[in-house]
Amino acid sequence: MGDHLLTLFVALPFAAAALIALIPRASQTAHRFVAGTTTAAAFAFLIGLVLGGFDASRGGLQFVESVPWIPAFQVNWALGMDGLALVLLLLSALIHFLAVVATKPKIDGSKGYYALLLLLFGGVNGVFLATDLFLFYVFWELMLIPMYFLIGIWGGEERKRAASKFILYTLFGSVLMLVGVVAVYLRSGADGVLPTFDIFALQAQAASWAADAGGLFGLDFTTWIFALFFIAFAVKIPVVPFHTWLPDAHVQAPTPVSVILAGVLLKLGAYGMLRIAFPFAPDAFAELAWLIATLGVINIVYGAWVALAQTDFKRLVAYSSVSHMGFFLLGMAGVAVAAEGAAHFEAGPRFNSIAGASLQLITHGVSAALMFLLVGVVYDRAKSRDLNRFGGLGRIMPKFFVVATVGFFSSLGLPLLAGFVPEALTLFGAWPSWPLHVAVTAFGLMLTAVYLLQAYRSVLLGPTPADCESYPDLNGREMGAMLPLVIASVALGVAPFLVLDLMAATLETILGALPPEVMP
Amino acid sequence: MPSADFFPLLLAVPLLPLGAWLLQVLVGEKLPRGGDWLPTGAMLGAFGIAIALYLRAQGLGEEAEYFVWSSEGEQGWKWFVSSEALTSGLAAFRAGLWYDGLTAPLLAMVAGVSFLVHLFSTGYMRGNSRYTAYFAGLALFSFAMLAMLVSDNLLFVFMFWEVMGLCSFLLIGHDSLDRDKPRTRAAAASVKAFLTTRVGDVALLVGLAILWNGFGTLQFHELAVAVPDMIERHEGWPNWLETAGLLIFLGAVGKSAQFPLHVWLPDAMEGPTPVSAMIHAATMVAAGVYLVARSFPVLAPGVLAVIAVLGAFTAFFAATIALTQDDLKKVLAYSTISQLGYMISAVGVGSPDGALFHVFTHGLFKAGLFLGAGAVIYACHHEQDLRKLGGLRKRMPVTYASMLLCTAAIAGVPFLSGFYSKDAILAFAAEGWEAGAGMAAMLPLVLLGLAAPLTALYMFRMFLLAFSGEPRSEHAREAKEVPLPMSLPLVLLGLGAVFGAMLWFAKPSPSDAAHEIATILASVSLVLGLVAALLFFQFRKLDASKAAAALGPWSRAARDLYGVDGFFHAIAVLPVRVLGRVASSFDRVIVDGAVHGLGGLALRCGERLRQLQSGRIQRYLYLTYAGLLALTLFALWRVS
Repeated sequence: MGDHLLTLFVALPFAAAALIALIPRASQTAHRFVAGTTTAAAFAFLIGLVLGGFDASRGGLQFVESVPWIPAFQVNWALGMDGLALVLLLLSALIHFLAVVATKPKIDGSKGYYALLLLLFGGVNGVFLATDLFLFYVFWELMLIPMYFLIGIWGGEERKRAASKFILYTLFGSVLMLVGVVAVYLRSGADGVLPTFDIFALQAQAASWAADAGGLFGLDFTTWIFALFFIAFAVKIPVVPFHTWLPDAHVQAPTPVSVILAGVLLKLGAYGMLRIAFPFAPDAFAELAWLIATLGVINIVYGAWVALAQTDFKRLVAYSSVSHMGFFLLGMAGVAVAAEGAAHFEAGPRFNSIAGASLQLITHGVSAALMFLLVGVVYDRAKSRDLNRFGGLGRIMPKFFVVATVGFFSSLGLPLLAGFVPEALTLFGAWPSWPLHVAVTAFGLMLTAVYLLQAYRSVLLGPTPADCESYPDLNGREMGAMLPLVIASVALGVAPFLVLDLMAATLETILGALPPEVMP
Repeated sequence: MPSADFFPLLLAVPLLPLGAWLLQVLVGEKLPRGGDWLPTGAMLGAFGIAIALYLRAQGLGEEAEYFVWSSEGEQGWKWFVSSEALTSGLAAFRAGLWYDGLTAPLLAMVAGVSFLVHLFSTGYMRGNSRYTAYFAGLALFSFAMLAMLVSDNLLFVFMFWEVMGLCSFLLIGHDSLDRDKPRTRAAAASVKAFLTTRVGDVALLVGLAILWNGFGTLQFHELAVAVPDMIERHEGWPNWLETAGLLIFLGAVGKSAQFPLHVWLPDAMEGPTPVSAMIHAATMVAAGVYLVARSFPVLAPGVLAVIAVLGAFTAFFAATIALTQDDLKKVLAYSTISQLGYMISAVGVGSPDGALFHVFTHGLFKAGLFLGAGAVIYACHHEQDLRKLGGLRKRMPVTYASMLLCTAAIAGVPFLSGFYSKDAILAFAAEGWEAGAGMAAMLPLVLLGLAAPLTALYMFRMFLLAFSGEPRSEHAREAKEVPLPMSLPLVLLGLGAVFGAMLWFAKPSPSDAAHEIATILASVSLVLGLVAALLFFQFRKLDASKAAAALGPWSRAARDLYGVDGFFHAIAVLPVRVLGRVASSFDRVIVDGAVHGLGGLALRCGERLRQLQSGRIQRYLYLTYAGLLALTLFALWRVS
């Protein structure tokens, strides 16, 4: 069993989904129970790995397993876990579990709903653990389908349009990715060796591709690879201008699905960049770092600015996701360039950058999930997301007030809550190479405070409309879904090393695969 | 001189209120009296410990300076990453505790004033619908300030500084959440306070990023060594270091309410009055001064000149406004801004010790003034318009006595605490004039000198209007002295206003010549201001409204706060809002529109796609994969 630990882990949600399929349609509690237990068990298993079994001081893969799957094309069922994957899996398991908790006990078609949720969970786990590029792609596609149906069937009034838009965009990305996958596969075999889909073998080869002469439309091979994978993953993050599916999808998706979408799915794009897009084309990455930095800053500032004008609470939070994910790009741009100079210039800023970029994935997962749960709480009571419709809820819902304050200020980047550490790390790390970008980002941070406090004020402070007076405070289910996130936010803010320690060695390995462009 | 048993004691000072806060949030509502005794008791404990530490530090002489839990070497709390293998980057950041001759009295003052504010609040806030939440906010506020004072590095100072921002936000907006009578204006004021200070905070964060990347450290003591080295190697101040200094100062401009970011502080009066005492005396605004004083080694001469002039200008500017306000609390608010100007300017003229000295004495008498104002407001049924007060001397003798001492202290009456600290600042400004040349060297002393008589004038104006003469309203006539939990803090702070200066052990020492100039200037100012105030408002020999009319546009402008708020609204608030609308429309029409246009072009069957039926989506997938295949073949062909 020990050899197939990860296979079992990946298979667990699929098996549970099958189990749900066997349970009669009417036993909603049983569906919920199976989904909840599965996700909780996955989380417990990962915590177990953190406490013992996983060696955080090693940068490489652990629990590696590989069996041939389609030998004709060197496709393997290959899984492996490193620090980055572990941390993201932890986030994913937590978020999926809380999404189950946050789902109302009675929903239409609960059987399909929970089964799809588990399929989604399984697909996400597969993406994080796959070390074979083809397998990665399979899991990537596999996870899109349940998401499509979750939005399209259990969503709001315009769910179909939003779901179509989601799948359109995502397939657009997938197509590019598939082209990239095939291209690197063929390229890896071009030097007279057996071609491979092994992600890490491809990474090791990637440096030699840069020497390739000629190319398509005047761009060389590595630039093409970079462009294909970058755009494929950029759709998912999402990077402006590929972001407009996100607000629509969020607004239409039911609360728990929004929570997963913001908390986990966006991170897959970033994960793909860290694993594939950047290490497969390190030179193009270093050369185009200016573009990545600029896109990151556009995400941050533009996202915040658009959020500022939203009157729909959920749209506002969706744009805040766009804004916050920009920090990932800015951080990664800081990795690509190193300034020549004093000794601490060499490693310090690059590590800060990548640590900030990766930690942002976790902290944003926590605070965005919390924010979407807050939106859900308000929506369930007001049946509206219009920020002008309600107000003064802090007066009548004291528990909600406390949780919402943590959520808003965590999102705002207040120290001692989750959002601050990655933002500070990113800014500190990116400063030597991108001072202008950092300065503009600082302005974006200002805007972030503006739109968040504006929303905070219209939801929690001010006069309470008469029909809001009777809103009940948080119930047990809502509290159960949000309290873990509140605790996680405080824990990440007070003791960021809890997560950074798990990732640090892996991040240094990734840095090794991404040699920087040295600036004078 | 590291000392092992010192560390837990020092750590306990901030942790006591933190623990109280946590308990207050979790179980406060269920405790008797809403749990108010919990943070109050914790603050008393913290105060006691701070006193004990103070007494020990005193034995070490004026230069007492030791790192109890230093981040040097292997000590300290590795904050971002605890792995020992990682030695580079911010990730290897270590945080430690710091305690020296400047921290000692400040820590005791902050803990003491916070305790008194807690005590006062048990009376003042009685019956408030969110009594427990209020005390939780106060406790967290005290924690953040105390933690900031014992931090040995700029990053942690920044973190607790931001937490203070949150606390002030919650407490200023406290009344907007009142269950019975929500006060909408308090919500606006709290948001304004947070956002205005946020401008400075963001600048400060960038400043820290520059410093970190320049020196690889944010520890105060390490910076104090590294900066001179850097200047020696560079043969001057590098540009980036000057920028960093300026950005750090900007942080203080926001937090310490310096012109032009002072606009939040008067609005913050929407908070309950004890909160004002907290913000104005012990926490928040003092943090900004503390920051620049501690960062003194990294401030380039050019930056110091800016600081000196801007601080002095703020001192004068706010004093003229304070003179025109009729709201008791507004007068005090502008007086705080003005006094903060003195402190900031002191750093600029090269005396961070003098600045912190004034923080210390000001903390005592300003807390007394605000709590006194709170007592007046409490006794007069929330009447705070000076035109409707008056005659409170006989009705509230304890409050009267305390307020008199505090007013005298802030006005600079000799041998009271404020006299010494202000005198030191003026002396350093005079020294700066002697040493330097040109306008920049002269301006601080001139502006601070002009502000000095105004201080005496507006403070005694406020005092006389409130306490002397006859009551001018029913509320004032019916006023009664406040109960013991409220009057005790007043008495203690009144004593502090008198003797406070003695408790400061690192006395700044300007040259004798400068000292003489300052003493003369301060005495003349006091006499001028006091005499004018007595003539106008006690003996009514002169008519204040005529004097105001004689000054014409100037007094009107001051009354209207010189239009700074409107200016910000026009240049910052409106453009941001309008651009937000524009960005939002752009996103919907152009970005999303382009996508829809492209999508529609490629797929005329879009209409049918909207109907989510299994067959349609399959067809769609087929289409996609057909395209995919074509592309793949294309790629294959190119690569091989």
